[in-house]
Amino acid sequence: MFKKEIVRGAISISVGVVIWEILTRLLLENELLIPPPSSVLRTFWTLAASGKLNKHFEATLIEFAYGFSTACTLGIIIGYFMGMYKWFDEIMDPWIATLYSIPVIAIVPLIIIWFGIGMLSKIIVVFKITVVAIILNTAAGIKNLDPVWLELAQSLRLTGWQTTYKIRFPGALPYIITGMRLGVGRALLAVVVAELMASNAGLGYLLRDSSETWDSPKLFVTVILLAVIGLVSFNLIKRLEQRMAPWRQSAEWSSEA
Amino acid sequence: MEALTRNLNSTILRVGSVLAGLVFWHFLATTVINDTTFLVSPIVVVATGYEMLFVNGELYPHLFASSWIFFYGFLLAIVAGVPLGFLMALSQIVRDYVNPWMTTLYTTPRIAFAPVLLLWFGVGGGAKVSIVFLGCVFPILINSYYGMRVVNREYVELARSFRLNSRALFFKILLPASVPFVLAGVRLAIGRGLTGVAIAEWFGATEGLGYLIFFAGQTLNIPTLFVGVAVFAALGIFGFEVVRRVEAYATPWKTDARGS
Amino acid sequence: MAGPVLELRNLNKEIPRPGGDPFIIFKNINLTVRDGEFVSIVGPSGCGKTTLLRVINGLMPHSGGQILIDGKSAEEVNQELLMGFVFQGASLLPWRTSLKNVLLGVEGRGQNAKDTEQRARKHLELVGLSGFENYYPHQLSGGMQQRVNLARALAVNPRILLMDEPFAALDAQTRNFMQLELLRIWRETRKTVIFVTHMIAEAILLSDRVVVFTHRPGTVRSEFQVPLPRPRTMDIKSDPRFLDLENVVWKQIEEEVNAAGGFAKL
Repeated sequence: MFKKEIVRGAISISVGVVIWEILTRLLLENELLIPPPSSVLRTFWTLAASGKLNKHFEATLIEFAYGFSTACTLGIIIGYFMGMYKWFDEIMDPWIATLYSIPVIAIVPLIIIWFGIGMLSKIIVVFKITVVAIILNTAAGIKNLDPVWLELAQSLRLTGWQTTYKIRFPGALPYIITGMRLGVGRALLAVVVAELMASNAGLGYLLRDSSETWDSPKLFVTVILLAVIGLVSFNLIKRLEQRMAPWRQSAEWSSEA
Repeated sequence: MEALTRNLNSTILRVGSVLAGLVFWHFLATTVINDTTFLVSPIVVVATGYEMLFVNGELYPHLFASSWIFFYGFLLAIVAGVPLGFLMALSQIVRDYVNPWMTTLYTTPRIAFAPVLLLWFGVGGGAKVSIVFLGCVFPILINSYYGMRVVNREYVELARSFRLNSRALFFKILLPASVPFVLAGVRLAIGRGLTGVAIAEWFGATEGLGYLIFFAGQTLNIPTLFVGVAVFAALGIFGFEVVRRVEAYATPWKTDARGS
Repeated sequence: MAGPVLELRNLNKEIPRPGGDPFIIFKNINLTVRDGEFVSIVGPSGCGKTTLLRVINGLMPHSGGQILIDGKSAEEVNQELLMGFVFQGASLLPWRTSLKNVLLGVEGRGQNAKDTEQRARKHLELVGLSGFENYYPHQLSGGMQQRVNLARALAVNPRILLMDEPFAALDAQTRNFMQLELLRIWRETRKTVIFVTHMIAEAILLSDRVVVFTHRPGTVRSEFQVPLPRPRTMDIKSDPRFLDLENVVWKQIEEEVNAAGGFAKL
């Protein structure tokens, strides 16, 4: 037995695809404007079999992984110190606020000028996009710790290091994960933007390539692939958030992605 | 007195941090790098900004072009997003059928739609406005939906205990309870809308702030590039502040206006 | 008014459980409330007293039996605004001022707007809050919020006032003041009140009659007329008759709790 909403969702999607197929077959002579789902599927198969898709996918994934892991490491460290020391917070705050208020897409040309069109510039873009949310959330998590917990640590005569990894870090963890989640959605957008503007590999490159050569089926394959990646990573992180911080009710998904 | 000293200290730290950064930037640009196609001193950036704003007025056509696109896309997103969000909250059937589409569209990096939209609408205003629209509509829609879904059950019971009809239930309970959430969505939409403007103008435009930045990037005109980025940041801060004021005015019962 | 204002006959409430016996919340409730009477319902936690109030007000359907209001079945008069409900939490709408909150039940019912506003003001005055008309709930203390809550329920001029542990969330001192205030307001308005509480002393202090519920599934275990003269003050709490009654009721509730599996299960 499936739940009613799942059945309805499946109906909604399948009916949409069928209508799309019928309309494109009946109404459109050429496949330029909207290719029918069947030809999108065929193109997907060809691209996947030739290994092209794999190559671009891998490039995007590596850029994302490097940028994101660097952002997590540095972001948590910086955020921790900002939460712990007021003076450090004061020094960092204006710069982080500036960094935060610049739309990533506006800064991409500059990053490309500075770091070239290779992978490094995309890694930097992913880093820029994800690090701010992680820093701010880690700092907030450290600052908002219940003072009773710290008194508890003191009464148990925990050392500074013990207090950090037994009390402060787990206490701030839900915030840190929220920061990571906020970063991921935007990072995917940013890395695609950067690839689109200047690159020789990656899904963004594929997007530009297919758009410039008016290869609609390929364009649609890329768009749908990006949709699937977005959907999967979004749900993965939601699960992760529920698992790693089950004591905190899951933050609703209305947050910025 | 102590508080005063602390405030003073805070100001000194902040101003000092910014000044030190600017000085470092200046020397980095003028002595270490010394290549105006790579990095220029903040002084040059400010001078360029002044010139574009007050001397030759080069900035204004771009500013107007971008504002126009932003305004229409943003407005359309509110007009479409708020009612659809409410409808999804009120009707299980609408929710179940719309949800898979919405989640998919929402989680897809929206730049992926840009080439498709250009394919359909051409490089005219339609494509640009719809790119901005796609960026803005989801935070507004989702927050409207969420706001109406999580209305305190007690308020609904209260309405029933006073025998309010469904019209009164909507206008007196559900709608006002959702307002803070809708506004939080609108606030999120500003940043995404601005990104949408930049994306739209990068793809095919001859004017606009996005065009200005990308053209400057292509021609290695670093001062103009910096000015464009700064204007974008300023617009984002300005828009945020406007919505914050609207929030304070529209929801006076909220001591701290916080969104999701 | 010859007949009773409210009559419950064999009232049942159960909630169906998928693949199991229904969950019985209360059963066979028989209760008659006279016009102008103040009746309290006390009982162990989870005995269904709050649910009973919601069922009486039509917020939930019942599963069997009858509710008669002035001799007419409740279904028949369900759309009429015959009851005022004072909720436990502060159910004030945060976007409405005190005055606007009191207006919620009376506005837009075809009467002159000026008259309804006058009526709302009068009721705010009755609960001692004149001068606070334009305050938002978050600007009021817990006790003041419950006063607005009470004014809102009274403003619709209900036949019956239903109160669901209205003072439970208040601190002990504020609660005492509010009990005295309720005694005064009841004296001035002579409303029929059904008051649900888990505090025995509160029930005795306020009521003409105290109804004790059994543990779940709840039903009426016993009823006591309160043999204390009015007007009452806090001094009455040291009256031997008060203490005797408190003792008897407490014994019964203790028995019910033990029968349900003891305090630890609460």
